Amino acid sequence: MNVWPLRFTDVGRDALLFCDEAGGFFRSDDAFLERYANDILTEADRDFLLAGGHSFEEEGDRHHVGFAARWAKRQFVPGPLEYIILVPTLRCDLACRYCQVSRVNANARGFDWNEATLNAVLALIDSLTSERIKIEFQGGEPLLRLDLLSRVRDFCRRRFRSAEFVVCTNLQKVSEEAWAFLAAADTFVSTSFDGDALTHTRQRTLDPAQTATFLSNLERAMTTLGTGKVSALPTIDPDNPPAPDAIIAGFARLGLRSIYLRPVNYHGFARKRFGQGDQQLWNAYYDRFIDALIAYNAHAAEPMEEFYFTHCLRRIFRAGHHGHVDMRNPNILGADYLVIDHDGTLYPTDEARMMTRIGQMDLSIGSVFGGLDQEKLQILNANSDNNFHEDCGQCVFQPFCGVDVIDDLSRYGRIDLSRHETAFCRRHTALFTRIFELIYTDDAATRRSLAAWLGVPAFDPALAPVHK
Amino acid sequence: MKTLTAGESLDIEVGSGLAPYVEATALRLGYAEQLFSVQTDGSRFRVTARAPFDREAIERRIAHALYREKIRVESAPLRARFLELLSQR
Ligand code: SF4
Repeated sequence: MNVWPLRFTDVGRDALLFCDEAGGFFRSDDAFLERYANDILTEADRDFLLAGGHSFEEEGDRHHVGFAARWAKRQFVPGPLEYIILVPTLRCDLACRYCQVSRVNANARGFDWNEATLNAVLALIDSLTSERIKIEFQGGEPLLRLDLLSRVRDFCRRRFRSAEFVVCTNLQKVSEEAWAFLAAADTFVSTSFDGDALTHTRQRTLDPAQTATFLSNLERAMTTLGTGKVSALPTIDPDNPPAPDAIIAGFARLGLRSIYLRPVNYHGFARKRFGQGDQQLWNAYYDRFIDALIAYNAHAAEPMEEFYFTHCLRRIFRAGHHGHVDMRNPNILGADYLVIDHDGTLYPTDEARMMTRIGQMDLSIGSVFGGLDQEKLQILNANSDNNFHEDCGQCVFQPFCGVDVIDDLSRYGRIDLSRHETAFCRRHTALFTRIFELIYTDDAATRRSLAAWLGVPAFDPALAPVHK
Repeated sequence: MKTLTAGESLDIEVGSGLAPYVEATALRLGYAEQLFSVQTDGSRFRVTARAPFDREAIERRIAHALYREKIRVESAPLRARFLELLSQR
């Protein structure tokens, strides 16, 4: 019998978590590790490993083929370009504390698409081979250029069999014309709500009256557009975060069931401050937030989730769960999604756009006028997978984890650091450690939340295999 | 249970079966391990705690790191063959 290489990590006194490269995992102990590493497996070990898909008898047998299929499904293979983030204007009518680099004042000139840029954007969209498209309008505040949004939407509706639009708006000043635009069935709203009015005022509006306007617009969006069409994301300052319960209550009150917690995305000098210590601060806060969610869900009729936690949990149980552009392996840039800036410059991600804008590093990958810079993309994509990385190659979480080259470049200006020194790795090590802790707990409230997050009626203990 | 104080060292002997993996393990622990530093003469480790650290926990960590290296080396041909088969498809 051949055992697929098993990675393992310490998860407590004499407890180890094992995982193969296709994402099959189980919990066992040091005695099993010794038998496995020294090739003195018992009959029971062999039976367990074969039944769990961690071994095979012969090349090409069903165990071998099954493993290959599961492994392959864990690899992200980009499809055609069909998700585009458009920045028709950089102008914004708010000046949020941490957003200096991605906006200019509402009355600034020269920061909107001109006619030539719009035409080039539409020509690029027209050249796509996909039959469907998802457009995300970002800014600045995209509703300041409703005319451009309408022209893009009209064009895409005509050109593609299926088209979906997301408007990322601060919901601060929404004209009746804009409400009508947002009411279309194919158009969705994404906004920022920092959890409670006080925090939202401190971090964004700086004015309680403006916050009240925002909240009434958010309520109007929820009632008139429908809960399924609106998402709101809180940005958290780990130095001064709102209480998890306050955020959960704030979102629940609005009928929002999914919360995507994001730490403040500092850039340049400010980012240096958000270093290693603050990563620990963030991880600790995030842990408290998950605890609070589990406690809330224990009694709530409608369970709530933290979006990214749920996403990573699902990546463990479902090979092929590649729906988050910052969390895939390999994370091929410039393939299935793209960012187009206010001047027609192309970027692989929004983060890359920010880095270029502050002069940290030019991560543009072409323009709507000249097309993609394939040479640059090749360089960026040369290190886009974690399968062969020295550190990830010994990490039990590798099959579920991803790669974020842009985040590494943004924080450290390089990508050759030991993984464990990167914020990406520290964050995901903490996250996956926590998820597996929950998977292996027999606490009823935790299992109730896990079931809700996985979208199953109940959490079956068989999902958490143990071998002694 | 004995705790090593910061700066205190501990020698860990390695059985002959794991000796081939000592150098690579020390190299890896040298950059990945935050809580102690590691030196080796090829047949044993000298571990120096950077902060107070439980002795048994250090021994377990070293044993795990050695096993990881052994598994990596011994399973490399199987992994290479698997990737070769996939690339032919
Ligand atoms: S980035 Fe870190 S957590 Fe993710 S696979 Fe690599 S070593 Fe593991």
